[in-house]
Amino acid sequence: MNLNLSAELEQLVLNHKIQTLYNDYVLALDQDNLDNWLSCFSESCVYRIVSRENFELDLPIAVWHSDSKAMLRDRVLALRDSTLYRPRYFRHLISGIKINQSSGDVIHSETNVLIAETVIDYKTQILLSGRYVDEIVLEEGHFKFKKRVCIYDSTLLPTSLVYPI
Amino acid sequence: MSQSIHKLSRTPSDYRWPEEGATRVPYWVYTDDEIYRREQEKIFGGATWNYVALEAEIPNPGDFIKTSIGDRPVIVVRDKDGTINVIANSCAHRGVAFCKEARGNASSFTCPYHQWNYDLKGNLVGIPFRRGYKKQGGMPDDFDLTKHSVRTLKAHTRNGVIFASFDHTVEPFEEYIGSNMLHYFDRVFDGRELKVLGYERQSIDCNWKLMFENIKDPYHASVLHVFLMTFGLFRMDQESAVEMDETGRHSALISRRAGQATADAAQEMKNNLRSDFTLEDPNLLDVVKEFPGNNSVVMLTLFPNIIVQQQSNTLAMRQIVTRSPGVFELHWTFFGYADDSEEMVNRRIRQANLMGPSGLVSVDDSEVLAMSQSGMFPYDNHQAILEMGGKEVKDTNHMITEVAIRGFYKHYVKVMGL
Repeated sequence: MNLNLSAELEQLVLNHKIQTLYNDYVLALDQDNLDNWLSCFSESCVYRIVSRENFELDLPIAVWHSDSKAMLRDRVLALRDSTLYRPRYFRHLISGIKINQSSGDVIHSETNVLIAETVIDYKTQILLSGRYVDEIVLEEGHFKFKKRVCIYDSTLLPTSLVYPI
Repeated sequence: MSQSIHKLSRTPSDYRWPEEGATRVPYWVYTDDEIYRREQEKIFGGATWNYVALEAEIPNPGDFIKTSIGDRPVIVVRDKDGTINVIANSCAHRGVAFCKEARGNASSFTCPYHQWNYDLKGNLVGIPFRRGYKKQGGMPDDFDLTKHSVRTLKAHTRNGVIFASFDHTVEPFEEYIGSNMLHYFDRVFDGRELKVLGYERQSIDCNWKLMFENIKDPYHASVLHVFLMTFGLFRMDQESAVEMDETGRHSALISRRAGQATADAAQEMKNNLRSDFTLEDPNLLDVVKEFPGNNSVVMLTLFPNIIVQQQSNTLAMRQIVTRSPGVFELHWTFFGYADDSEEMVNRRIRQANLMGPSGLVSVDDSEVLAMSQSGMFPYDNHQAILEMGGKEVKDTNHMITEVAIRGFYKHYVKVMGL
């Protein structure tokens, strides 16, 4: 057995850093800290929530489509200041992180996600199940999402998808 | 024993409409199982034209797509000669909803349970073991394949949009829609080839009529939708109109985009208008004029199951699929035109952020509608008041009115025999 420890250690450190970004992301959403959520994205970024149906049919419409960080900030502002919704909690579960080949400065990775939503006074329900398909870059010493696409399996979303996921 | 007043079944005399007429709506129309059953029969199953699909979804012979009218599953299929058939997705034998795929291409349909086979018109063309096996079993000699087709619907296509009716005696589509609503319909469906841009589907915890009424209610838009008000996309101080067909069942909400709100209007909307709210990325609302005339928004509700949305450059069919008195599904089909530039497609994708299950505007609606159902269900002997803009049912040239909801109920009472 010829262990190439330096390469393996490098991979472990990379896995750990990606895992940390993923954890920070879901923690921000579960704690309703949208500033921390925004800080998970790089300055130039794309964030989309798209149905598996549209993804597989190669149709461009997304439930949420932001192609700049300013657009993300606008949506956060609207959510805080203008949208009517019943108060609720979220719990994101991620599993099976898979880091694919990185090309140049971009790391491609993906993970499964299951989100439980508790609209206060109602039973907890599964909001959606799906996967995140990501492009991650190093920006000012931190890994950030340059692109995050959530592709959800659910063919019917429950009443409203209020928050980013 | 627990007391559950509203759970007791009603007797026929309990289904009496309030004397005030269309300015009152009893909450039991939103909560009652018998009313729901009657709607399936008289409205969705009756002499109405229901939206089922866009032609662009089934361009080639054999292409099919599954959908529902009310809660009844149907298949929309393009026949070998190019005509469009709409048939029930329910086997004539034992009722199996035999078509499993959401869409596809088929030369015939076969029920998986006992392999009964139908052509694309819904005719039964073959059943296994019809003559039995080794002179045993089989269907009786008088079994006639031609008498056991799946139920077929009457179909009509206008400028790429497909409608269907369970009642083959329904009046012609153009008469059903009426000339004024047809004018607004043709404004978006002007004969250009359409292109589907994507689907969104949500299950909303409220009665289907609340959704239909929501798009007949311009009053709420100037108080609930902060986003629309702030950016002048749909607001009380704009030039606007509410128009209906002669029966009151269909309506159009029409508006012209305006800039900053006038001082008077701002005063009325002061609780919700955010004059300091600006977009950091204005690309979200990079609106261009694309239809003739000055109207920037036309929201068309065509009885009983479709809302045609033209809000700036976002175009969508919002199809209502009923599931129970307290739950319906909203199926969104976003579209553009086959000749859209890449720039226009991107514009439509960005503006779609306003709509759908996560829409900057439509989340307000899905949330408030679920809250309506929560407040109506336990109080279903009470009634809604619809007197904004008067008590009549006639076209208006302003938004501060509930006239189109009154028009809807004027017709609803008649169709439902209430």
